[in-house]
Amino acid sequence: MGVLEEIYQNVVEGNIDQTKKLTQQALEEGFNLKEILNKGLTAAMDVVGEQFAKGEKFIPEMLISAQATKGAMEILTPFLTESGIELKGKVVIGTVKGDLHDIGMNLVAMMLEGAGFQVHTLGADVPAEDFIQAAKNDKAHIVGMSALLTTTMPYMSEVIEVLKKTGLRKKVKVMVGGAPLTQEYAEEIKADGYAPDAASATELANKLMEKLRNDKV
Amino acid sequence: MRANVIKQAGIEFKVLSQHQISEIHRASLEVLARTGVKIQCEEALELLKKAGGKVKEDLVKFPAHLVEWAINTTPKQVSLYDRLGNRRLSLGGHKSYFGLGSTLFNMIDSQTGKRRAFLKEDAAKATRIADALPNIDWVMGLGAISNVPPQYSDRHEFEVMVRNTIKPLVISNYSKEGLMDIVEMASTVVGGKEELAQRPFIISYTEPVPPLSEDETAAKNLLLACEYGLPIVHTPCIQGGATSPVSLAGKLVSANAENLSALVIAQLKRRGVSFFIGGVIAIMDMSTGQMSYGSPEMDLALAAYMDIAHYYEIPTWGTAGCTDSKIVDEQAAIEATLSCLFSSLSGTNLVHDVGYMESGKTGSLEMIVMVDEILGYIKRIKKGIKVNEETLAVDVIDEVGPGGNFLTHPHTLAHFREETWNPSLVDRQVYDKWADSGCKRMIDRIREKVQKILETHVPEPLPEEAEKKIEQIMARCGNH
Repeated sequence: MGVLEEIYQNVVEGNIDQTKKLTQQALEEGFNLKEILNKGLTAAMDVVGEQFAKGEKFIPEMLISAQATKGAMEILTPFLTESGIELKGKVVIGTVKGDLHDIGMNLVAMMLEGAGFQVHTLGADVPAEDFIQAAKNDKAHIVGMSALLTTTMPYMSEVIEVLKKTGLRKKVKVMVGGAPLTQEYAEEIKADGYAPDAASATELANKLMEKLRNDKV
Repeated sequence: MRANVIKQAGIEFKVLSQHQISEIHRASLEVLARTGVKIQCEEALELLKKAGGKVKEDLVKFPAHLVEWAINTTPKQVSLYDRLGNRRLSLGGHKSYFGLGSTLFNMIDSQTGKRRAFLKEDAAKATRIADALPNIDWVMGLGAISNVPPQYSDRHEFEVMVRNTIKPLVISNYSKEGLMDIVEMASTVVGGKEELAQRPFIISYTEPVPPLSEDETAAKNLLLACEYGLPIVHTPCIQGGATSPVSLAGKLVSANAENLSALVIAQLKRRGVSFFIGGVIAIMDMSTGQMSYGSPEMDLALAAYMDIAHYYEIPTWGTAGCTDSKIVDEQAAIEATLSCLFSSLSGTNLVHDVGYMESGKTGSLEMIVMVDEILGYIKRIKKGIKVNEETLAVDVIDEVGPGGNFLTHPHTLAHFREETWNPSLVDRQVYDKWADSGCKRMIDRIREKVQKILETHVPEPLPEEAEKKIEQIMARCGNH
């Protein structure tokens, strides 16, 4: 088996350490970056995604493959940036201030990593300043916010306000989620998108990246 | 008269052996001493430090003796009264009482069948329905009221609950001001703060954040409830595999550690405050990532947790009568029946979330009415079988003789009402009769019953003085 096929296999099986080793090996052996990405990682996550959709694989299995992908991406990213290959996208995500519920948010973050996004997870109870600081420092494309409580959900508007005030609002796409959130609420607070669960959050992130590219044109 | 008679009344049901209970108890103590709990509340940290807890920044490790002390200090029995001062619920041991839930975002509209945002009138209707139903024993607001100012939703919720039922209430404890208003309204309703303390009809509800964390707001509100001396529920909503171990024993250890840590804080703040343990000990569905409100794992884990709580002799809070279904259908019936059955058999004291649908997002009046029927069915089973001279009925059998019938025997007449459950919605007609009355499905009969109750049931009105006080307080809460 060639090294690319081996990477593919190890991502599908969720072997994080092996995937990282093989990715390093592929780089050293001079494999084309795009090939490593497409044949080794994307193809593997596509298959895992299909199996998940069919009910053959479940969330813990998805996530371990996603983590293997993340490990490989960490090794590849500096080289990708160097060679000017467009990255999937950078995301800053967290649960808003006053709210400690982060399991859903973490699930979204890990799924996005599995899809090749670079995700900076801020954790829970995150004030606006931290969202803004991270978005600035990371040059993030997407800011994701989560809340579980109807009492903490309103804080999302505040974060969007601060994004506006600091001039960042136009540079990023804002996506929101969490049990009390709805499409209507997202529109009310002028977020760019809402997703009802982790799988659709990944689709949404892809769409928002499209929009950003089109905005730039 | 016989000697050496041991009578069993009801059904015996256990999930865990005593040995297993002890193992889980010891494991919980270990988690509390070794891993600890993150608590975002200065006052709680201070209390724990003084009592011997190892506090480092916001992480507290609990010594076993402190936990054991709290278990032994908390009351083994709590009496809840109705709004009129009658003792209604005796909470402790294996008695089970069922009630609604709170914080749902949506409601299935009874008229249109559409799923829409939860409104104040939904809380009022749900309360009134619960007031009318024989097998719903207490009430919670059902949903997060969306058509009032959000900072006052707790008062609006209390207002409609207290107007529409005399049954005991579990209230949302969201803020200092909110709790103050609610306690004031509640006190006026029963005739004063002393009365409320002597004959409580409200329970405070707050939650920790699994795994092993307390956010500032909830922790402060827990302490506030202790100050008021209200009976307290502060239990975790756990998703096995996500916010606890996926193995059920590990989930129980985690749940127990969280419950006990809150119990310690409460008893330190106010020794002897009434406290309930339990929670929503559920799973994350590993296909959808949703918290499941209808699963065998939840039913089993909750029942097992009750075995542990009985061992501690602490009153309990459980979850049943709910579903992941988006509509009141066969799935809803299956899930609600099993959770109610296991809650009943395991002797969970306060069982909440009747009427909860769509994995804790949507409510419906039809669901509540269906569960009331399920509970009637289950109650008959829980009643068990009385074995005595009269019920063994050997003389009756002899009188009727081989080939006879029992229909007109005085024994049947004397006992049939007590022995058999009289269904309200379950249909047993012959086919022709059923067809003639319109081939009604269960959901049709449920909808009719909902309408009938809403049209005819008038709850007990509030005393005039209470009305005035409530109007006064609600006037500054953006009253609608």
